[in-house]
Order: sequence, then structure tokens, then C-alpha cells
Amino acid sequence: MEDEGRDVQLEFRSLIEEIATHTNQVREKVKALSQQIADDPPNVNKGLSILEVKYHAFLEYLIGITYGMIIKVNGMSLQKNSLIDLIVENRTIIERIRPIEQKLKYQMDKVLKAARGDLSADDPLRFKANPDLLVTKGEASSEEELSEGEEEDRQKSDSKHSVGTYVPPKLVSMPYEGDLSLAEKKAQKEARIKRHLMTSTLLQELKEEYTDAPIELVDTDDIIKAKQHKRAKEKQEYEETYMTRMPLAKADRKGVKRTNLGTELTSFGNFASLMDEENEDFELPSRKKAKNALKKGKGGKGKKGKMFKRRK
Amino acid sequence: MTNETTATIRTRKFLTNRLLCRKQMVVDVLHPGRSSVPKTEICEKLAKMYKTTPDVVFSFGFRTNFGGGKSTGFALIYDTLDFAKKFEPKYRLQRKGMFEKKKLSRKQRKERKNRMKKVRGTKKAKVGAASGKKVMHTF
Repeated sequence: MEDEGRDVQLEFRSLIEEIATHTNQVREKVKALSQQIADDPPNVNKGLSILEVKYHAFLEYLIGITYGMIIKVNGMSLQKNSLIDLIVENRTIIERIRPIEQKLKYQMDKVLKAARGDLSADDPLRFKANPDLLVTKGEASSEEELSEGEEEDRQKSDSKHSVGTYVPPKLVSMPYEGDLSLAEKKAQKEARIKRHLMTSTLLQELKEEYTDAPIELVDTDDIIKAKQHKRAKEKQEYEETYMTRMPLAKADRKGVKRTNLGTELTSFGNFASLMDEENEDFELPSRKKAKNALKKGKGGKGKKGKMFKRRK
Repeated sequence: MTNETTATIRTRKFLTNRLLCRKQMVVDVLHPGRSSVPKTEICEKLAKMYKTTPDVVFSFGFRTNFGGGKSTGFALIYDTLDFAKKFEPKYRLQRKGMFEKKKLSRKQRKERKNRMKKVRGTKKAKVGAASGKKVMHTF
């Protein structure tokens, strides 16, 4: 017990000395800063308000902490003191501002760089859109801001095809498949099919049921698909409220045929191979096979039996 | 290959129709890796869920979604079999074997109509299909 008391005393003394040295340093720094601001008051009218909020919150927080320390040093308790609320509030504000500041960090750095004059006019990372690059010498125009790499490509291709041969713009990158062996290609294809099946409607609906995450509704740019989807939903709603099935009109049936995916994606075999991987020789329960089996069973026995009877 | 994976049945849009003494609902059947589930099986499972006998459960209108694995249909559960026979359309009763339709051929129908043409008024009703067979008096 005594040893513990002594340790606490020693710790306390070292902490007090630390506080003393730190406060002296801080006081000097604050003096220098306030002198600086008094000499040359900065213009904060057009600054970011979020930074102002942050600094105010910080100051209040520090004030609260120091006051708390004073109270503690004088031996009084901090319980049921409104100071705690002040400290907690400011701390929360600071923590909430951090991610917002992270998001703004890029823009702020760019602006500072430009103010200091570090960004040259030819820097392709400038934050302004360059309308001169909209229309180039005879290629299809792109209306997006070009990055450094694409600009260089454009210039190179311009020099090659200066005569007037049309070169389609390389807007979308395609995967290069020239160096793959047959087995690798097969593996890639299977992987693709698996990925498609993973996002199939059946699994999506099962997932929707058993997860607590909110349901995502997708907005597509394709107007035709959106209309079809809307019509299909309306039809489904009608059918479910009135408990009837509406027959498909001829035009709709043709549409359904056209929108059918390839058989490889939707055949039962592939789905089952996804669920049950040991069953490699899984076969479809095709109607033909069932019919043949039925015919064999019936025909064989029946025919034989009949013949017997007739003979008798 | 009889992959007997179990089917999961879920009901939606449940409604108690007091006027027709029945409960009506939309039924979702999940049956991955299996072709569509027969209606008899669905009726049995629903009867177990709602603690009735399967003969008052009528299911119809099942459509399997594209790609398989899920079907959606409707089901009606009547309070008693009498109400079921009263309110349910004949073709659905026929599916369960509770109703037999008279299979009159076209020729017979036309003959009956012609016999009815010869008589006036309420006597038409007496001219049934059987009256075509006139009694043969043998001497």
C-alpha cells in the first residue's frame, strides 16, 4: 500500500513538471502568434467556413480541458459539471469534421498550390476543363477532360494517320486475350458464367430476404428496358391483386423471345453445378429422356402381355 | 436423376375473404435445381402450414420465373369442403377429382336441340338427352 502511494506521488510530480514546461512553451508560441496576427491581420472573408468551425471547436475544447485540469489540480471533482458536456460536444464536432476535411483535402491542396504559383500552365492536372482539346484534327471528339496519357496517345496517333484515314476513338478499354492458352480461356469463361449466376435474380431475392441491408433499386439509362421493366411490374401487381393470370399478347411473346439470354447462362446444368460441386456428371431432366423411359416401360410390358393374351 | 431437393413455400399478400369463406394468398415456391413443383405437393404443404386438410386447399396459376428455381402462383383455402364445392369454379374442382363433367358429344347436343324444337314451353325441359331412346314395344 505504501509503495503504491509512493508510485502515485512520483508519477504525479513528474506529470506536474511536464505540465509546467509544456504550458511555458505554449505560452511563448501563443504570444508570437498573437503578435503576428496583430501586426498583419489576415483576411478570412473568402475562406472555407468548415476550417473556421474546426478551429473554434478546437479552441473551446482546449479551453475546456485546461479548465478541467485547473479544477482537478485544486482537488475538486468534475462530476455533474457542465464542463464535461462542453468538452464532449467539441470533441464530437472535431471528430465529425475529420472525414469531411479528408474529402476536401485534394481541392484545398490544389488551391494552395495554385496560390503559391507551383502549378504551371502546361500541368495537365489543372482543375479547369480545357476546351481546346474538345475538337482535334479529324478524330471524333470527346467531351471529357483528358488525362495525360490519353493526350499523348492522341498526339502520336495524329502524327501517324495524318492523311485522313478514320481511326475510331479508343474510349473503352478492352481486355487483351492474345496471350492466353485454351485452358486459361476456358477457365475465364467459366469464371464469367459463375459471376453472372451469382448475380442472378434467384440468388438476389434470397439475399434480399436474409440480409438486414437495405434493398437497392437500380436506375438504368436504357429507356426501353426501363419501360419494359415498369410494364412487367404493373402486370405482376395486377395479377397478384386479382389472382388471375393474363395471357401474353403475340407482340409481347416475341419480345420475350428476343430478350432471352443464351442457353448456356440459364440452363439448369450450370446452376446446379454451382450449388453442388461434387456432382460433375449432372444431367438435365430432359423431357425426351423421360418420354423414352416411359415408352420403354409401357411398351415392353404391355406389348408382351397383349401378345400373350391374343395367342391364348 | 431424381434430385429430391426440398421446396420452400412462402406466402404473400394474405387476405381473409369472409364473403367467400376462404383465405387467399400469393404463393412463392423456391425449388433450385429442380423442375417445377406439382400442385398436389404445394397443396399438401400449405395444408400443413395452415393446419387444414389438403382437400380444401386449391392452388393454381403457377408460373416459373426465367432461369428456373422459383415459381409464383396463387392459393385459396376454404373453411369447409361444402363452401369449396359451392364457390370454386368447376374446372378447379375437376382437377382435384371432385367434379365430373358430362361429356356429351357434339352430335348428341345437336340431336337434343332438335328434339327440343318440336316441343313448346316447359315441356322442353322434359326432353332430356335420354328421351332420344324411345321405348321399343316388342310384341
